[in-house]
Amino acid sequence: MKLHSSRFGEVNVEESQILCFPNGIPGFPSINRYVLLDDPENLPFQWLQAVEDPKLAFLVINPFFFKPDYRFDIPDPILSLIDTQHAEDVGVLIIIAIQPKTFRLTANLQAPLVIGARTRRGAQVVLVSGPYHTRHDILEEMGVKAGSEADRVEVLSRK
Amino acid sequence: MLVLTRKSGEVIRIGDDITVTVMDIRGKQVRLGIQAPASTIVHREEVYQRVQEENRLAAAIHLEEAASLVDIWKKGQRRKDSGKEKKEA
Repeated sequence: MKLHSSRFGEVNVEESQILCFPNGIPGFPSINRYVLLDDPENLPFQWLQAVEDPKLAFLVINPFFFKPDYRFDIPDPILSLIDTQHAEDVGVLIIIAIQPKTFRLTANLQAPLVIGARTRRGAQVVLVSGPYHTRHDILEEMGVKAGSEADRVEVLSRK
Repeated sequence: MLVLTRKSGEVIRIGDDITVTVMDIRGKQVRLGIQAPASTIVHREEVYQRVQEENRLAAAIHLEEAASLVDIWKKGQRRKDSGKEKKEA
């Protein structure tokens, strides 16, 4: 099937690649279908592109690329939502953001995306306890001292 | 909005299968016990809102910004690797 993306234009995807988020993603509750788009230029990042909304896409990354000790418990309601019983069958992705004033690259480790490998059903978990928050500086998590101007993302002027 | 007054120990029921019990009231804090089916997800509102806002912010990333961001990531990786080499040397 053909999918329209404001970032990538027309993209061909297989129906079998579609990920279903039954509850949507907080902030976008009515968008339920997404696909993961790989752009070789952007690895290890991927785009989670909404099927129904060409403009809606999240830049995501497997947390183990920058935080190998990342651990959290998946609440039972989430496991039943993604129709998956074992944590080994769950893929984890983290949403990336660029902070408005500092232009730093941050990762929302408090709200990981979990996707059932077999069921292709997904959800965003909101962790209620533990050490994680919504804005972890990725470079700091990698153990690199961040701080210079060069670590700021070049942000296009936004209205 | 429906507003109800409840005492400590009293319960409200939402639909057939959700109950909220006032466990304890101390000063300005109320402890609530929530019983709901396994499929119901309960959040603290302010945490949920923070995640919503962060998602909206994340959804605004342009393709060109992603390129710059990947650049920073790669530079970070190189700095991390060269740091490791120095330590090993």
